[in-house]
Amino acid sequence: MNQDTESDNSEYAEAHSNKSLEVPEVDEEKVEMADSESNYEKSDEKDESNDEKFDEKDVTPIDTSNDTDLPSREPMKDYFRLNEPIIFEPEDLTPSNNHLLVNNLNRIKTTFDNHQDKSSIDQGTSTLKSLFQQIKNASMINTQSSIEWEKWEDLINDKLPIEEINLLINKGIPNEIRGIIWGIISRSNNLKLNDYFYNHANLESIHERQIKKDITRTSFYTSISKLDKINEIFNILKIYSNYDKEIGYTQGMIFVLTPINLQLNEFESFNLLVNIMYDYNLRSFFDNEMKGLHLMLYKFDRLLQLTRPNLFNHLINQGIKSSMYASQWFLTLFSYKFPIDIVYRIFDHFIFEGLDFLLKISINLMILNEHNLMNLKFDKLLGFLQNSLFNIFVNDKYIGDKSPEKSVITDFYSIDKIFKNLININPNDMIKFEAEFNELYRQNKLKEERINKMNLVNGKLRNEIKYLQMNLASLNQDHLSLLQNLINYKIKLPELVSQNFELRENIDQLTEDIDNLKTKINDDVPEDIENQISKLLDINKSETERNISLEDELDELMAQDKELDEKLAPFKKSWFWK
Amino acid sequence: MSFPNPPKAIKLVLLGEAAVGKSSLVLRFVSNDFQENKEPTIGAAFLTQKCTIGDKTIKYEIWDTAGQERFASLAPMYYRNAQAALVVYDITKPASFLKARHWVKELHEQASKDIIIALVGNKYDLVEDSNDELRKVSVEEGKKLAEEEDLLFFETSAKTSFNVNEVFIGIGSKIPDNSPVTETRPENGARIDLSSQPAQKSNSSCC
Repeated sequence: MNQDTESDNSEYAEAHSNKSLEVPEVDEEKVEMADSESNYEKSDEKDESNDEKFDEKDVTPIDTSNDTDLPSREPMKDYFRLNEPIIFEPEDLTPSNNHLLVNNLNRIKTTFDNHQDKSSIDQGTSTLKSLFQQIKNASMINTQSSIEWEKWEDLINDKLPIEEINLLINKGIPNEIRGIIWGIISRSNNLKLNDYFYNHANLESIHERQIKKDITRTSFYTSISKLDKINEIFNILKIYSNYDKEIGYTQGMIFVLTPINLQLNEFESFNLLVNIMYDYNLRSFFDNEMKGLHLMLYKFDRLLQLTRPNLFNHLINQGIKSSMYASQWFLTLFSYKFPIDIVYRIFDHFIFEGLDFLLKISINLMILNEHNLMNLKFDKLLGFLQNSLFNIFVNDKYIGDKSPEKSVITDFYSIDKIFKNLININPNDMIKFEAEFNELYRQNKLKEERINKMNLVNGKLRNEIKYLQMNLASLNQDHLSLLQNLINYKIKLPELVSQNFELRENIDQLTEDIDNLKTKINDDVPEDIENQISKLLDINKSETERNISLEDELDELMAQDKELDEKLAPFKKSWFWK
Repeated sequence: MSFPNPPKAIKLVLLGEAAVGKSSLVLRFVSNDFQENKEPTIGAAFLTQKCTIGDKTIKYEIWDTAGQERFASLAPMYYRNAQAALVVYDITKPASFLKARHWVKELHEQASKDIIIALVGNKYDLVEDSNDELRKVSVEEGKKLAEEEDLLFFETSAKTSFNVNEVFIGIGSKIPDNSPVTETRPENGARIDLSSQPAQKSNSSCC
């Protein structure tokens, strides 16, 4: 048990003696009335447009007179009073209306009653209770102890009324019994889990390397000098990563575990870590879609919008979303950057009131810093949100002190101021916000699915386009070369035509020649030439015969002529002389 | 008399595997500081730093994201609308280079179209002094990826501050100068001619 930081109890008591300090007294009944009536007066608090999708007709007022009841099993839609403004005012901690506390204690009881390891949890809790007794006995010797032992004892034995529990934890759990109280209240000390821890201590984990790396670079220890705790942290995270294979190890876990481990031993720390992850549902922050974280951010946005619309609008106008600064608050249960003493106090409330307590503290931080935040612009504003929210709680006497030894001073922060006047949270509103968120989430999912589908189709189409483009390119190439050929041909064509023409002319000429020649051949060489020759020979023969006969005739005639001449010769001379 | 140009705001996001030195690069650039074992970033951290390149002043709005795989679902929130991105890997860790490839791919698919991406191989100090057996990702591999994907490429050491400012100057010089810097100052009714500013080349000094 770590006992090195003293809590200052007298201060808390003083703070709480004046409950209604600075807080407008709000009658709870009135709030609920305004809540359930159709009250549209506050138009500036109109819900976001997406709310319109919800059916608002079947709205029935919800009976919240019995605060200790869990939300009844009425149909969910009865809780959808979405377009009706919720009147939110910071309420003082009227014990009876700390709904989160009531709900969470009921939740723990129900879980325990139905738990399969009930008896081993019972045993584990008894162990812690006897530890409590030992510390109490030891401490009682010191009469100056300011711890209200009777109350704490009543608390762990379920004898303290809820109003008193509320007041008691708001003062902070004394450091001497802090871890024990955490373990008892959460009913996390399950001896069966101890067995698991034992049996798997030497089992390797795929996350070992990452865990080691992160432990060496987590600055928690440099300020707390608890170096011997490093091995424990490593073992717990390693064993957890095997215990919960789905989540394994996630970087925020180291910050969640460290404050626990500084208050509890190795086994108890592991048990509480498992309990916080599963039963407090911190796992939902770390699963693959981090849906729980996004839900928490959504609830935070809605609460801020309702409680401090001006601040909400200022942040929106400056382009700042809660995811930019609040993710690290929620993922580490505020233990990422904030002072350990404050972290313990947040854990005190968290164990008693559950995960939604993170909303109370974060909204409170925003409210208390509203004045500062309203005067800052984008980057300064973000820087402030990430690092400086606790500056307003620095104890007056240290303001201006340049280098206070923070590790030595236990009252550097006026821690009680932070937990004073926490806003109250109506579980019904949480249910409503969750329904809104789920609707948004569902729509987003659908959108995402559609986008993914489109991307898939797009991808396919892109491939197709690529393929077609490639085809087109090669076709273009073909086309181009064809075109070039065409041009070449076109250039050649006239030439060819004229050649063709010439050739045709030649052909014609030649054909004519051939024809001529053919006719000539036919004329010159009659086919029945022998016949003709023989005919001619015949003719010739007959002609020759005729010739001979004619010659003969001629001879005869010549002879006659001569005869005649001779006869005529005497006459001739006479005739001649005449 | 000259007025410096109003700084142009550039949203820059750092992506990369856990423990490659993203936060350290930012710390070096913003505060010229180095922490040996810097705690893991949860969600994302936000810082700003002005940087003068020639006569233009850039105000980097830096989103330093968590590296662990589990937080990958948060990343789009940060790289959406980012004008620049550093994809960081550890030159002694081949797996971190694989992861860098993955981030480059995701950015090309999901981030704004003209985002300027620098691929940064960090932890150069570990391979200095020709201590080459520690190097697991060669300069060539880095360059090759950068060429393929059209990225700026640097090897840096946040520890020795080697090449760190160069990364931011390199990105700044690639940011297109189309900012509507027509802000006039009403005093004296005189328009200030921002174009004819005497070149006060401060040799690209960051910080």
